[in-house]
Amino acid sequence: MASKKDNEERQLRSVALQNAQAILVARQRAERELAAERERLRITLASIGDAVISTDALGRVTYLNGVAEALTGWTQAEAAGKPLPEVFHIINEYSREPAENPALHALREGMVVGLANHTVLIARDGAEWPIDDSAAPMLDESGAPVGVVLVFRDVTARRRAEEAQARLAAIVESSQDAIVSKNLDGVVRTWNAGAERLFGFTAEEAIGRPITLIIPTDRLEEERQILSRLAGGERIEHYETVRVAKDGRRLDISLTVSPIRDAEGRIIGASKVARDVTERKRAEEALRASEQRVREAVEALKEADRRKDEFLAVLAHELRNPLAPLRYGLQLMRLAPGDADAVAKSRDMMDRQLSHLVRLVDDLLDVSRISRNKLELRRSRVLLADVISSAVETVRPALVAGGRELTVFLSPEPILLDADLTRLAQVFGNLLNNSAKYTERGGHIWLTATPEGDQVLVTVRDDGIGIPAAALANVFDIFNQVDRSVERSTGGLGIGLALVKGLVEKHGGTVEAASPGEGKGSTFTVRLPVLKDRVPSSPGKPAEGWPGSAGSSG
Amino acid sequence: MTIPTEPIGSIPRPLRLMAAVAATDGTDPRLDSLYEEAIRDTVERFEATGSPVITDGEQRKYHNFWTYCVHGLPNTDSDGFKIPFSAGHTRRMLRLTGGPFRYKRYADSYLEVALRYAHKPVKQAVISPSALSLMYPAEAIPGYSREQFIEDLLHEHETEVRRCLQKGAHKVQIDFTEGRLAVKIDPSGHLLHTFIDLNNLALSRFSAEDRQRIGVHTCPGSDLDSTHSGDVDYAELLPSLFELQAGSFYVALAGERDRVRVLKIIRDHLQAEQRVFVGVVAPIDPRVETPEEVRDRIFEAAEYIPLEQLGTTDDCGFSPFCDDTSTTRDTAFAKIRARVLGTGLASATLGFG
Repeated sequence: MASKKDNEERQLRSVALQNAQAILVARQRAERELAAERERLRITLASIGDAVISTDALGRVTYLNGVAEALTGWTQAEAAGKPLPEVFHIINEYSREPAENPALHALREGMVVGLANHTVLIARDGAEWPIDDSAAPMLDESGAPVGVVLVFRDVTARRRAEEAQARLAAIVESSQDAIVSKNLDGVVRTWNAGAERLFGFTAEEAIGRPITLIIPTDRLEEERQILSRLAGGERIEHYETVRVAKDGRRLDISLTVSPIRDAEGRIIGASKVARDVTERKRAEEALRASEQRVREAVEALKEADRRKDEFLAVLAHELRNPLAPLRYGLQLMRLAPGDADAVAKSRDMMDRQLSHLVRLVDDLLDVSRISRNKLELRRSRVLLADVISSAVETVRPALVAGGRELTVFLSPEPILLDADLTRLAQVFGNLLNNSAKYTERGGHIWLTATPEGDQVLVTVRDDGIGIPAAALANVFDIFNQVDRSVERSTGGLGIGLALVKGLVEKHGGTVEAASPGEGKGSTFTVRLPVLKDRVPSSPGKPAEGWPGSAGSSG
Repeated sequence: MTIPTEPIGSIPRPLRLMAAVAATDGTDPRLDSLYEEAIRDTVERFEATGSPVITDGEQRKYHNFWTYCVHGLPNTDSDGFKIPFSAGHTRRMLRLTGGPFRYKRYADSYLEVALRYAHKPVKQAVISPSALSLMYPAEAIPGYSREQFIEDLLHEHETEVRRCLQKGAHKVQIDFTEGRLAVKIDPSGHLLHTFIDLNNLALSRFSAEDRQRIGVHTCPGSDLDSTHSGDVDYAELLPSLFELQAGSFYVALAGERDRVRVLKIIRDHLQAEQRVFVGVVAPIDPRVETPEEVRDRIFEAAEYIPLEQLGTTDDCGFSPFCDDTSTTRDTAFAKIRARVLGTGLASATLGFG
């Protein structure tokens, strides 16, 4: 009986021990599967870019992946079993106060909890990492929390990018320039305050509409070309063009267009920076005009300077010319004091030269006085006929010497003027001298005086060389002479017409020059106010008995 | 709140049922009404004891707590191992003759019936994988390896436990009476550790929450007022027992000669998330304990076990084998009543209730 029982127990032991081997195999298989599962989980958690920490139901750390180790400064071995707040120490970025631990919150509430904004992780070595995270409870099949998994990431780079983006957005928004972006279909995507100000469309009105909204119809082709260049990656800088505002105003703008690329570098649109250059254009125009005026003034000054230099040269020459004959006359008188005839000729010659010299100096003084407004007229009631007579008498020798014929037409009625007879005679004498100077030998000069309302028109016309049209405006300028060679050949400073103008204007009149062209003679017209109490007479005819009347010649 | 108290499971079947079962095969459909009536009566009397948690008394577990799930399988033979009891009798196991291994029935079918009558939480006892592992014979079964058998066994056990949990069992208790037997068979402890491993493989398939509703019962066996391993020192078993990943442990204590020694061993090895229900009545003792006796045993236990980890239970089922008539139903319920009342007394004295 005992042996049978022993046998039973032996067999039972045999079965049990054989089963033990099978159970061991099962356990090893289960352990392998569990280990493999854990390894897959470990690899998964180690492979993701986020930091992962898990805890047990009491909030004690059970696992850290590599990223979590790097950010917290704790290794898995060191952190295991530690209370989570010790390993995952977080504070508010601004208050520096401890932040509520989302993992413990998730564990307590049994729900997913996101991290508050502006949370900073304090690493074991004191390093600070701005982080973003969430925590989720790990629940068993019945829904009971068995731990929590905390996932967080370093958002330093993202924070910088956001700050940069915010700064950029603020810059764009505060820019005085219009900054607009559009896609490659030309549809507006962004529209800053500058664009609102410049074009008059609000962002709400512009976004989503084609950019042709602000492009004049005559420049649509230009937009197509810009899009084409952008598609090729080209940047268009400071392209000056015209756009149209909401109220229809055309705006001169300077445009810089850059391609917008996505993360893969593909061009997905364009940004446009437009600056209103209307004012600048106006300023440029004004500047150009001003510069032109300055250039012209400079040119005028240069011309005046040149004329002054020429005048000075002429003046020196003219002043020097009489000196040689005077010296010659004096030598002659010294060498032959007894030769009365020679002495007389020398004296006459010296007298003429001195007279010429005196006249030159007088003219200069007159011009100077007029320009400085220092010339005083000795006005009196004078007859125009007396004035003309005095003038003709003065120039007669020159007319006669030059073989010019002077014809004078005076109104038969006496014309009274409130004038300085000498100065006015100087006016007409200069005009007649001028005509004589520029009229060939045998040429004709006509002086005509015609009443016209409150004025009298006195014209001096010749059939001489005439005045080029371009020179007409300047014939009365001092130092101006149409043809210096003529002036020099005839003697004189060329300031006669300037004197004419100054003296006429002193008398309240005007003088004009006219010429049909070169070789077609000239006409100078003097208008002078007349006194009311003139004696009426018949219309004008050649003055009888005038020294220069019809048939007379100088 | 009181000190929790739970039964182990079996209650002696009504004599009429036992006679009918003895006359037929226990699975004869003609017995259904008798089983039904036995369960109804058991639930009613169980609730009458005041026990806050009841069982169906395992009225329909044919033929015992060990083989109920495989009884009647065509691929088994009755010439399995004999388990010798101290009273001189033996109980024989079934032997697997071919694969695959599948349960004939799951214990949730019993639970389902009990729940129809119960007004209190019902716990369900199931047999451990380690106990059933002994069905595979010493010689390998051609075409069905021992490893495949173990895998199938784990799957079937998992299925049974899940079904019980899903149907609302207050607890699912795994009967692990072979723990001490394993030490007896293999004093080196290797076999015991193997059993622990196997049962842990099964437990590992459940969540922590589920495992809190799963308990493990160990005792030296109880049949015809005798044990199969009562002579094995608890010190050989308990340290390994608490390695099982279960939430509750039902440990026979009332019948132990040196309870304090056992309590100290429990104290030293009970883990934080575990609760131990110590046996305060002994089914193999024909005498019905008084509530005061029970209370005092609890006081004794409370000296070593934290109250929040302490519960009370019966040392064992009152009739693990369906033909056991050594204990009457009345005695069983009287002992249960004593356990409940004694636990209540202790609770009140210790500040509960």
